Amino acid sequence: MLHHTIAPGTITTNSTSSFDDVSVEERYGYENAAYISDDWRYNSKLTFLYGFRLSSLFLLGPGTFNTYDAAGNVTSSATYASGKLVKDYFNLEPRFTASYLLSDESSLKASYNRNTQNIHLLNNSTSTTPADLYVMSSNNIKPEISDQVSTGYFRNFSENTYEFSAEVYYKALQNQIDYKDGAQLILNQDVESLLTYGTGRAYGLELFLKKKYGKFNGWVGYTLSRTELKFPAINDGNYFPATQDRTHDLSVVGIYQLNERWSFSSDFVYATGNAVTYPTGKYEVGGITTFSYSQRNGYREPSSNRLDIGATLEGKKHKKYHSSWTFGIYNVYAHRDPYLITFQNSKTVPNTTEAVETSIFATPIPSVTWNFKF
Amino acid sequence: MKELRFFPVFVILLLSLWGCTKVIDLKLGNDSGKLVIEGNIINSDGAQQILLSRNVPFTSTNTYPPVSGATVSVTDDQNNTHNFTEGPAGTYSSAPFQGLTGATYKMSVISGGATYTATSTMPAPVRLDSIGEKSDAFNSSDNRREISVHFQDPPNVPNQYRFIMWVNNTEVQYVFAYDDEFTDGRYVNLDLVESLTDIYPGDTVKVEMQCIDKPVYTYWFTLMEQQFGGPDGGVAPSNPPSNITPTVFGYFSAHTTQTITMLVQ
Repeated sequence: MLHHTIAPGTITTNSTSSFDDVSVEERYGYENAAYISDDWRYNSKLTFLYGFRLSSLFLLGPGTFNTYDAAGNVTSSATYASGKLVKDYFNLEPRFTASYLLSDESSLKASYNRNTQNIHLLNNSTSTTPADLYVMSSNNIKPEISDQVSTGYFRNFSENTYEFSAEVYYKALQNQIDYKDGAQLILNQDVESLLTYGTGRAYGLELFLKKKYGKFNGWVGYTLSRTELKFPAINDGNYFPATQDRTHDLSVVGIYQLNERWSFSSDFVYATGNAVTYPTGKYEVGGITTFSYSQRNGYREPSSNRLDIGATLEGKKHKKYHSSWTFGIYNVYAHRDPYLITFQNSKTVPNTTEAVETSIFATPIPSVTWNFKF
Repeated sequence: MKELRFFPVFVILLLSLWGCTKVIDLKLGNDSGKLVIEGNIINSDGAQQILLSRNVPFTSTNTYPPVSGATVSVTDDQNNTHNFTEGPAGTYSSAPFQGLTGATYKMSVISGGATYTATSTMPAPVRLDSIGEKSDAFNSSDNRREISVHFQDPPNVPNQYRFIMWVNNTEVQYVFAYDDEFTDGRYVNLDLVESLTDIYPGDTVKVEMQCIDKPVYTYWFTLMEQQFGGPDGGVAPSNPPSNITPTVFGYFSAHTTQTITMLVQ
């Protein structure tokens, strides 16, 4: 059993201050879960693992709890004494996995999982007021639910030197949360009035190949995926890519053991950039250049990619201690990953606007580490 | 097992954290030709103005084509209708009248076969006592100055404010919108923090204070939240919620206005 207390914050002031005392009510809740599972071996090749988890959340007083309509207006308000039940949620989360051995070296798996989540992170980093807020499921916020089905093929070959897997998945998401436009978040006592609710879906293919033994080993992992969200109040109610949607995600790692003392390693990563909203036009209000937007997350940041190399020299063996040196270069070919793109009136060409990219880590970064164990 | 680690090159890592910036070409879409309505009714006796224009692509110059030939009027809650006539292209003006505190005004714009309407209620005026200047808290080098505003917020009523600042008669390209959620009934000393225009002794600074209604505040507040953020902040930027239906770019605001000018010492 988990007891949650969420304390969003207070302002304390004195009589000469420009500011009032503000205190946002704390929220209390109990989360419980019970889990039952069983595995059943149908024959030597086919096994099933199944079970379910029952999760519950009890949101308790004290406090005043408003209920809001879709526009954020209070439709009812109720005050609860300490320990009184405000809202409870019970969710049954079934899990099911079937495995079938095709041969000594290969197998097939299929699974279904439901997961629910009662603590939600609301993320807003719009830079004038960067704010991450945690909220509990409540009379307004329903538990987030995800249903995932996946199936995969697993195979070892060359006497288990290599391991390969391929999996596809589809995930349906319910009760997703986002902010409405124009939300003032800091110390807001009605933060639930600023939220809007929607659905989502995610699907993809994951490929993985690993060489486990030998002087040279390493792995290659690749994921092709899509994560999309849909809110009636956003993007005309159409699906749009989630910020962290990664179309391609590739990582390659290689390790070469030259001799007892020297080993070399290298890794390469490549990922599609975040989905972002860029302006598509501009107009003027109040004498100020203002950007217009036509599609949520309709653009991509440039892809990120990076190569790192490293070498490790093991110290001579001692009974009492062991030391090693690691030499590395991070970002060998000095790829510039964009960190921030801002849109502004041009400082060089009057009466125009420009997009300015700020990036960091644009140089290779050498490093030396001395490791000493005793 | 205990473990000791040393990072002798930590300094090198810190040095490489310096960011670098460059202007880039993002091949942005071409969103243009959409109607922009900017309607203001103020509490001083004079010709009131409503501006109609269109948006242009991001890569164009900052010149916005005016929209001519519209039928524009504003009706107050006593059913007095003020008709607006087009002067310079896209600028529609009324015969002189004064907006009144507590009155609700309804704007009607007929353009391109569509009728756009919006209402706004003029709040009670709050007096701007004074504006002040002090050393810039973020960058006090070379005597850079920062402007502050001082006023008494009325207790027990929600108030929303918008400030506009001009430095040597050039408008600072920054939205300042505040409400009294944390300052209700207080004597408010507020710094107009911005980084776009440097202010030095000898500059002439003019500040206008507007008392605006809640939907107009939400409009300006949304713009203010987005102006430093850029699109990578986490919450995607969006068009601010207009109080005009059907939705177009812009707003209709009945507000009070007061202006103070000072010479920065």
